[in-house]
Amino acid sequence: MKCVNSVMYRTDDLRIPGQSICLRTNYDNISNAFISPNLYECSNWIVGLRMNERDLKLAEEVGSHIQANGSSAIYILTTKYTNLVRTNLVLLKAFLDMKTKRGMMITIDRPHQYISHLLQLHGIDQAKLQFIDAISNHASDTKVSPNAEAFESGPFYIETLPDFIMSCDGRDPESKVDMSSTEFILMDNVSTLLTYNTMENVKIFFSRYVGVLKERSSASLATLIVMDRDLHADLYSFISPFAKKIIEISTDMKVGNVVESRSPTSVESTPSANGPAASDRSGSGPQTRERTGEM
Amino acid sequence: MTQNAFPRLESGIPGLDEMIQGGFPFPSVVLVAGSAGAGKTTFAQKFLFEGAEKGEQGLYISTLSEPAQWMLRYVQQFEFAKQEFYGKEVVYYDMGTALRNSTGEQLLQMIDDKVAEIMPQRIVIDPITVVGTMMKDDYRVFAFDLVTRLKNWQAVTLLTGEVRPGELYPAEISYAVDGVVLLMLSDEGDARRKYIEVLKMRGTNHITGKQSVDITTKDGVVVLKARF
Repeated sequence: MKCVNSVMYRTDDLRIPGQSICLRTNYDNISNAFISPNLYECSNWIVGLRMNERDLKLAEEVGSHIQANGSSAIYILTTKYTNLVRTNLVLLKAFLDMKTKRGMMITIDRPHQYISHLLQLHGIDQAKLQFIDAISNHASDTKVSPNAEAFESGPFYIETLPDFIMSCDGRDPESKVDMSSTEFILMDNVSTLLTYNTMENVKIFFSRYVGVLKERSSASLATLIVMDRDLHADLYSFISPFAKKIIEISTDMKVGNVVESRSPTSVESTPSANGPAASDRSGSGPQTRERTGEM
Repeated sequence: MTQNAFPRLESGIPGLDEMIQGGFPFPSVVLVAGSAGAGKTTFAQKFLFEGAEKGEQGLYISTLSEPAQWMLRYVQQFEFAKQEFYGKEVVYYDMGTALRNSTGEQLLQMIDDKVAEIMPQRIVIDPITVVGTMMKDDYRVFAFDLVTRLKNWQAVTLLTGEVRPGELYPAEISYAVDGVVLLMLSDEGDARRKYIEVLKMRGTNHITGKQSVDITTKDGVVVLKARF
């Protein structure tokens, strides 16, 4: 058993007889550590450092703005590019731990093992998280994260990614992931597509992606997109009219403006990369939007 | 900036960003190497406080077993080191003691845990070469694993490295990092002058050659002359 600056507990003390476990922590105060709820799935050692208070508070607040029980909708969280991963983590905390939703993460920017490792470090339960890893084909580390519910190595080419997602409908016995019961999808991250593709291709991809989600998902699917709208203004302008709600996350990780659309653009009305009406694309919010929060 | 250009994090070192297309690629791991007194720690501190001014989170990992207050006392001489950032936007973590009692894997795990707790956008490990002194034969593997892990984090990490006499930079780690910045001292007549040189910066069309630097209490390390 590996321990680092650890405090050893007999499991009898933790009301789990028959095993010895290790709480791994660097903190002086052991109360900062916690016991994972899926203890037995974590073999014989429990890892978990509580997420810091600021990010926890943000997770609660963001979670309150995204109600995943209604109809399917897209939510955009805008933040500086330096906070993309952190915001992803906050969202996963909110959805997996606080709302106990079943989710899917599509990883493009970095292999899924990385975010799985992060979730483990933060003690976020991954038992209800599936991964489609579109970048793993290019990564040297090909081992599958043992903590997630399921993993599928997805196609790297975005022309085929929507079709791949469509195929994950639970009917194919060969498919390891199943979208039919998914309650939220998080993509890490859509802007990275611009590294490998033209803007027009990314727009086409996104239109098809949203269309596939709408066609194949359960009735209430929250699609979560985190992006830096200043860094990728053109892509943001294209995507934002699809969103039911746009939530601004400030550099110091607080919820800023929350802009809600009464009637987000439907996927069917945007068959091409030209996207929705150009007049409805500004980052400042068109007439159909109402502000529901302030800094 | 084009759509697929590297996002960059401003270094906070006056004159340096102009040499590296606006800042360090984000994310990346950069080695800041130099002899004693060349300004490595000052460089690293300014980098963290620059981020703090922008609301970014910083983490300073010391490998020297120095008490945090000792470091703070030293840093306070600089105008950029605002007290309100201590322990908040700039968090200090001393792993010097653990360094003597832990394996490489344990050290990596400690760094991982601390980064996961703080979630910084700017990380400094100062100095990394002390680890090499402690670990000896295992250091090369440790350095490779450390840099690999740090590259996964959504942060710019500065590793400071002490160079030995006759050595330009610590070779054990320089091959793995994304960038190498040299801080040099040079005897010129009766004067000892300081220079900076960007030896390597991936994805960056950087200015080459030595540039004069000064260390001031206002800004820390300042590049005095940059050729464009």
